[in-house]
Amino acid sequence: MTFLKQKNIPIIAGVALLTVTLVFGGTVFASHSFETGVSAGALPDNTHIRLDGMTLQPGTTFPLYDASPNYVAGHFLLKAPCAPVSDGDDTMRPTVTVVAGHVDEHNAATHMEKIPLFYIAAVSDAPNSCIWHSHIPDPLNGGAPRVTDIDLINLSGEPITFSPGDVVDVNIQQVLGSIASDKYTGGPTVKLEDENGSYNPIYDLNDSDTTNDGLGHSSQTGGS
Amino acid sequence: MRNVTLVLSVIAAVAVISTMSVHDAFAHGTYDKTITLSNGESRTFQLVVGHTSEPTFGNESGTHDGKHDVDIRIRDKDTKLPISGAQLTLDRYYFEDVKQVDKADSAIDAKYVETNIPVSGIFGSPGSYTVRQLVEPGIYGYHIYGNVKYFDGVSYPVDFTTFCNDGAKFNSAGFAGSYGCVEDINDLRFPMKGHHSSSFNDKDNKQDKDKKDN
Repeated sequence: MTFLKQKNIPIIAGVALLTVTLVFGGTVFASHSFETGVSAGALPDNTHIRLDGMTLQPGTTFPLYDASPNYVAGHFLLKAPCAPVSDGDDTMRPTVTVVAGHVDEHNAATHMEKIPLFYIAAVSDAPNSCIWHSHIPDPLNGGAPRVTDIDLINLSGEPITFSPGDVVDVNIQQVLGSIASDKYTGGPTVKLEDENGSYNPIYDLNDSDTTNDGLGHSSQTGGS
Repeated sequence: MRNVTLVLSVIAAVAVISTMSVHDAFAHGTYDKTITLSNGESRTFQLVVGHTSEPTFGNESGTHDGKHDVDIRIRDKDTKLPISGAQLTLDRYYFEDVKQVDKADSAIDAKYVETNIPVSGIFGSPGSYTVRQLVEPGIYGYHIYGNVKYFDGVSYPVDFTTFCNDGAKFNSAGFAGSYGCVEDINDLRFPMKGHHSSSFNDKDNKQDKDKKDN
């Protein structure tokens, strides 16, 4: 019983929190069957972009990643200012919009769409700054099928100022092909408006609303 | 008149060179399967079929092992993401030559037929599947059937037949493109028996001629 001293309380609380996180927190992330990952022994390409201190004016774009001529598969993380998807909703969307696809020197071969984002409430600080994951590409939930470029664009109509700790992390795990041989045609195609307005479609696997779970999470007991 | 002769010579040369390219390397063929997801949207996945290490040559002792496996890749058509976990079975057919193919009404009329061969996934290469084989010169075809589990976790049935280019008449509807049939590696030999020798460049031929003259 001597372990239950006042100075040990933070340790006990920490262990308890970790245990709860491991047991129940495993439900936080989706486990998508289409994520390719990399072979053992190989390192993925990782790009970490700090956004803090930046103000994105309405209508302006901030290019994040360009793998041209290769279209790639990987994982995307965004930490940015957020707002409820709808009034009173506990699922948050970013105030900035994330688009991906291919920007070509030829307009006809340009194709950009909003990417589906998975809201990660457990590590978000709503409504100040929230975290989302995305799988690139996402063959089930939409977005551009072949991604060489990822950009942020401010379609909110107001300046967006990013706070300390706001970042983008792009982890590229596989080259799927060359956009030179698998071109987009008939463009420029830029899909920014849909039933979500000009914001990204948001999925949330952990709230009580099962209609916003999206497709493809093979389980809710673990994953990436 | 000289110009006309020159043009005719060039045309003739191009025609001759064209007929000399015997060993074409074919790309793999593809079979598309369109499915409907639970949200009502449609997606298409693709089975890409051919032989490993094209162009393919038959086994020839001391020269070529003839190991050209059936090479199957399964991927999402739009994204090209590989699809793992398919459960497939394969029947294979062999015709010796085009005459046999022409006479046959169906793939099962083949000279040799082998059925119920399990298709294996290749370890460490998601979306890649194979049936290992040593081949002989001739015309090979494959009936591939089973289930492909798409990213939504649902298994979708596939069932189609594909032949190398000379047997394409047996291909299932929807199979596009082609891959090369198995050739005789001896066709690559130079010089080979029956080749006409040049008296200027063939040293042995010249020596024989000298002996006769003496």
